[in-house]
Amino acid sequence: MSNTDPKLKKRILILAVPVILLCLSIWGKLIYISTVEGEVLREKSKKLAIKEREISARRGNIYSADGKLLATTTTVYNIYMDPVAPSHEDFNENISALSKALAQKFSLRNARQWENYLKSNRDKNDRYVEIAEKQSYTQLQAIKEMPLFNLGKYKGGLIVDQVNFRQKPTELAQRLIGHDLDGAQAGVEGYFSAYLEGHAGKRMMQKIGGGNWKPLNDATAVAPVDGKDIYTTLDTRIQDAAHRALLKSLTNYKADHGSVIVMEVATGRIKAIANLGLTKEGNYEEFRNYAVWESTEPGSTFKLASLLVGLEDGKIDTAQIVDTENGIYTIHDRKVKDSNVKYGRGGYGKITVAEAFRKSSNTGIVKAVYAAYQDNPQEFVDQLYNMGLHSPTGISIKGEVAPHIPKPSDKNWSGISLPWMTFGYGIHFTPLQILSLYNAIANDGVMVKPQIVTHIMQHGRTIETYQPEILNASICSKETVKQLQALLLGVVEKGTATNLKSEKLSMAGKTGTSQLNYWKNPHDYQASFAGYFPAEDPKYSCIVVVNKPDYTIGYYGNTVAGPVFRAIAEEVYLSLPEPITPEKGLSEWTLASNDKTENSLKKNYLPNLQGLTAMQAISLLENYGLTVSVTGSGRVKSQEPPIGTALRKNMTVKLALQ
Amino acid sequence: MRQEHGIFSNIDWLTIGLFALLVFMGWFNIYAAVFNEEQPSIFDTTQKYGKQLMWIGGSLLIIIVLLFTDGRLFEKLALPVYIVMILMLVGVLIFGKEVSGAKSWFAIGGFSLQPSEFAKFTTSLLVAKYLSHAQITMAKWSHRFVVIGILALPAFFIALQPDMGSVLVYGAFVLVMYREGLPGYYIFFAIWFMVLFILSLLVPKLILAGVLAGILIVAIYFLRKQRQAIYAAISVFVLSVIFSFVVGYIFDNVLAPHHQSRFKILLGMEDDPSGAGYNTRQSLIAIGSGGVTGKGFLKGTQTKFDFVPEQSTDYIFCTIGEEWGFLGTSTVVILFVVLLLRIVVLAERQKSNFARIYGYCVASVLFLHVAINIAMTIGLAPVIGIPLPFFSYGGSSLWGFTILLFIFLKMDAFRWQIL
Repeated sequence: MSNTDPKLKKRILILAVPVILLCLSIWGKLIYISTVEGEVLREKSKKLAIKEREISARRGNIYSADGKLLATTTTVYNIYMDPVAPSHEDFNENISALSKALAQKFSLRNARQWENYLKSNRDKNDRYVEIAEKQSYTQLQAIKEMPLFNLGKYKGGLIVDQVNFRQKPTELAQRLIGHDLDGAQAGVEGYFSAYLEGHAGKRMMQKIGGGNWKPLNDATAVAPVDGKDIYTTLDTRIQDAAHRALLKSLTNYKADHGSVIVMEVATGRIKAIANLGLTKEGNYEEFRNYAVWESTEPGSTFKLASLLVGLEDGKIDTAQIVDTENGIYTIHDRKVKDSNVKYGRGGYGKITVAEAFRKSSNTGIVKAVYAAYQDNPQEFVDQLYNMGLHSPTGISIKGEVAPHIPKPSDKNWSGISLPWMTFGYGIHFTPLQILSLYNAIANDGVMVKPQIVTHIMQHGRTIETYQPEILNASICSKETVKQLQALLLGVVEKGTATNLKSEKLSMAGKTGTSQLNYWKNPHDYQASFAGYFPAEDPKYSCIVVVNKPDYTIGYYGNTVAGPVFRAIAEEVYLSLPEPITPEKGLSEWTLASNDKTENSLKKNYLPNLQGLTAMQAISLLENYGLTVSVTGSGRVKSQEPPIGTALRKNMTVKLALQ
Repeated sequence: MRQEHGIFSNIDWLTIGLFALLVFMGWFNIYAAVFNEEQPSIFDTTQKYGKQLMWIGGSLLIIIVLLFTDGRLFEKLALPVYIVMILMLVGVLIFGKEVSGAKSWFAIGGFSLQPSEFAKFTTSLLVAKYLSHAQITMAKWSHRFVVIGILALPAFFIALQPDMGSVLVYGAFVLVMYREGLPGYYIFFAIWFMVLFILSLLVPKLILAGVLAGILIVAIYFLRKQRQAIYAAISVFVLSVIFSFVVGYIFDNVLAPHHQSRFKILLGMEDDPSGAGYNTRQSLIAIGSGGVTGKGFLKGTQTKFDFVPEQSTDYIFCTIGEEWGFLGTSTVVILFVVLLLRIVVLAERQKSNFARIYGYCVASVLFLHVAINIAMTIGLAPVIGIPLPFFSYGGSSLWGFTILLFIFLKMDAFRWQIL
């Protein structure tokens, strides 16, 4: 074969045709991409290169009245590793040193196990291997110094996930504090979510060479507005006492659940609210707000309302005699029984109404009230409505169930509706609603709205204050109040709750023992005690409700709920005079305002950064091209260089947080 | 004395110049593709760009060794190195390190070696040696089978890794066989069945059969005087119809779903911006956003880390597109075309058949890599992992191509000594 062979030349030319065609189509496509499609693709590229990044706002804290942190957000870091990212050499060189360092810090695995763990995941090509969760900023810094990880983001394979973690440091009143998760809101967190959450800021970030993003200083940037701090009425000492006392009773009586509310008589401020329920694991935990949400037939504690109506209308007198006979009273073929009835015999004979109340005689109360109102039940019900007992308390918590009081005009109204209502059946109230009535009696007839938040603060300044609210300035006459107060004191002094009598202080209240599902299970009881202390000068009202105690151990209000009340009263009363001093809080610090800080920066000198959160300070300073180094956590306590220092390029600002 | 002088005066400096230009352009683009501010030095050997410089240094050493080798040695060593390479390809299946599901690498100390990159030149040597024998002709089926055997052996073991991109390279040798006398209608049928393959995926089978029947009738009309040709046309028709049905069946029932979707996306039958089409789409955005003149060195935003995958290896071409624009991509395409043409010209001027055929092997292998890689990057071909010669990051790939090219340059420099 030689070069001049014409046949061969033809062959080479034929060969050239598809080759040339391919080259031309590649070139054509290149022209097409960079011209015709170019505009669209450039836009897409821009979109990919500029991203709006959200600057999350710090969620506000929730404080107790005594200045303790009930809920706060801490930033934690979840640490992962991409064991595939490091090069073969880097990985082999550093893996044993890294494993040693990890084993030292995280004893979950020893050095050999760590090494095997990382190696096997690298072999499996798993690029998201968990190292540790919920690490603090300082812990993160230490992790970043570990061998291999110290090679940087891309070569070391360290993946850091910043997570805002909501903590409840005291672990008390968890259910009242509640939560605000996606779609699920509860408690203070839920109700005051709009205040707590603040507004996330926005900033445009542009992708620049080297895989980095730089903030764009454009007009569309919005600084984040931090959430406000909520100051609740809760007192951690009282809360703690209530929690412990309730837990003890629930445990002793193997009850299903229970709740306690302690309220300041004059203001309606809730000092404690404990809700404990039995979990599947057999522990008692806060997971439902029974105090606010669970509406049941209250039983004997409602006798207070019945007498209130009768006394106020002048239709009943406490000294009036009723015949409890042998403890059984039949109305419309249904029997009202006293609790001491055994084998068809019981009761207290002829006694005064006051004694019937003290002894919690169902027949006595029913007879007295029924006699007064059987001709006109509407009058009785109207009185209850007039006092406002039919409306919810309006507490700032989602999920309060409105009370249920049937009316004679209702379809279901029957001949036994009124008599049964007088001793607390056929009507539904939540523990908080019953307590609200008892609090009104303690407060000389003034019914106040239960309050859980006193004020809302932002950066140390109060922006909203909630004053105690009066729902009904006088639910009844002073005389009636005095009589009722005497009746309640009598219950403890010489009635069903003499076991509560204390040398330390006087208490007043009423026991309640009701059957919950009498049509289903005759042994489902609700034991309750509602009252206030000290009896002569009421400071706090309190209700204790224990549901479904083991009836073989006990189910009466005085034995199951009463001791809880007494324990709380004694513990609170003993430390009562102690004035409440807020902890040394943020307000003592000079707080920098955001606007001022920005202005200073614009004028090229360093502003006062005290009181700002780390995130605020860092985003502010970095926007102006400064480097920031941070020690500690919390808010800025001190800064170096000092306020007023002229800004220089490459200046590093050291912030100490506290 | 004259001989040693001869190595450098007889060598084709144009090819060396093109080679050097491509290699250094590649290096700069790898720097741009994986640049991060933590390691800004282009000489930082912990980074890919620093390492690539080391590979470039290594290839210089290889070049010097090759140029000082006795030119006759290549033909003598063709069979031994081929056998050694086959052993290595078998070895890698047993001792190799598995990376993303493929056993393609030997891990030796801190380094990795990819034998399939070197198998290209050993296969080329043996193909050239066999075809260069005077009595061997492409007209004989027995001889064709020997060549196919030489190609199929390494391709088979590479397919087991699996590395389908590298297997495809062995298809390039059809061009060599054609140059050496394989009848043209083989190429015609290859193209015919390729077109038929695509059409049978795009067009309903019955319509396709109808169109084929139409073509047959027209063909019979023109060939009505030649009875033999009519029979041939009818058999081609029958084969084509069977082929199109078989293709459909194989495509639906044999091909893995991710292979199916690659074809479907390419043929516009399916759009999947986040899945299999992601690579191509990101690559197009990168190239297109570069416009005519590009965004400038290190100014690319698409080609860093997150948007385009395999940035420094298989998709290096889109870094060129983004940062240097149409001018940059055209320059690269032109440089490759000039290099390929130069190799063909050099091949045709060889006195020894061995050198000429080897030259064609070099050109064919390079052509296939360049064409497939660029076509894939700009969305003309399905996603096939295959490096861009001299550009893509990787020691094995760079050294493999360097050896492939410089063995030929040495043969070319040596051509006067062959009488």
